[in-house]
Amino acid sequence: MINMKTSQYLIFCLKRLRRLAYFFLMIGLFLTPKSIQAQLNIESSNTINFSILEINVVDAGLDFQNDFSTTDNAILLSVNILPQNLQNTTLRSWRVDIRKNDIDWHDNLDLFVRVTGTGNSNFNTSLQNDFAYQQIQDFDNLFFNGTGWINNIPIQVKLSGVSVIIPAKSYATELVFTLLDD
Amino acid sequence: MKLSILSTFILYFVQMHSQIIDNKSVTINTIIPEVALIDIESVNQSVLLNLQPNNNSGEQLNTSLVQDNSTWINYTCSLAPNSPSKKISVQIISGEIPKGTQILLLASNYQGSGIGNHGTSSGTVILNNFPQNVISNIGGSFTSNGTNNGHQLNYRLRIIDYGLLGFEDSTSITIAFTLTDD
Repeated sequence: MINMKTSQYLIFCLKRLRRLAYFFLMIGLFLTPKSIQAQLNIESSNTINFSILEINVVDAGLDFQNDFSTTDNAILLSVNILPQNLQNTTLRSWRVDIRKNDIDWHDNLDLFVRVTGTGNSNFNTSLQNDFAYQQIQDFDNLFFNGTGWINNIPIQVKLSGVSVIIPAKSYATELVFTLLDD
Repeated sequence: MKLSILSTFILYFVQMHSQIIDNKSVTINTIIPEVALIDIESVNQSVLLNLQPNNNSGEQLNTSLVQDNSTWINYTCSLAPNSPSKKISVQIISGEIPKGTQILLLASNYQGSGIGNHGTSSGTVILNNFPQNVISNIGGSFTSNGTNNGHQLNYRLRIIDYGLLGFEDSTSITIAFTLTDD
């Protein structure tokens, strides 16, 4: 009789311990420090100014010309996964998302970006992108992905929707590039 | 319990699979300038008002056909948020209207393929050396280019004193249209 009560008690304790262990396991997994370090660097200026002039209206009665584009390397982006070991410099896959955060913008204005080259690297890396313009939204969208350590990925920006029907003033927005471990 | 543990590990690896490592931003600035452009579009740059003699003596001269609708005003206008709307005024800047006559000018309301807040006709004016409004309340807009776009200009000749008419008189006058703040 006593042995049965003791064994039942032991079983009860084991069940409680198992649940407790499971609880701490979950805590441990989600609080595990991330061992991945990386740098996403803007090697160019972090400000782009589109210069729009009255002469961009080529004749009375017309609107502004349609699009305004930067040079094809207005933004230079570097992806450096640390530590600089063989896996990170050559095999580690990643992706870069893009979105915009409006500071003072107008709904008629649209921004587009495209990658215009594969950057440069001392390692055997790759970059996947169709090099076509994509419109930047107010939420993250995949911009391009790749592997390894790549510097100076050239990016071009295009502004469209400029019009005289939009109030004449300053507008600003922020392009946010987000590096994710893929 | 096993299902819970399995779910936990699945969620953990999903979290680890696409985790944000870093993000950087680039600020995009643009300034849309105020624009005020005006142009006269016509097949011929000059307007001809030719008063023909009457074949029946004693009758009034027929001026109903002495008019010209061949010219159009085109404009492009961009306004800052707190700027007033714009107007177009007209005045004679050289030459004199033949004695005993008046030249009336009426700008039509907007027609064409442009976009925006176009101005409205200010009604018929009698041309003189002082600026008079022919179009008012122009907001951010463009009329589109060429004839059949913008505001059609109707010039009419009116006889006010037969005693002053000189049938050998032929004269040219130059008029100027000016786009200014309302």
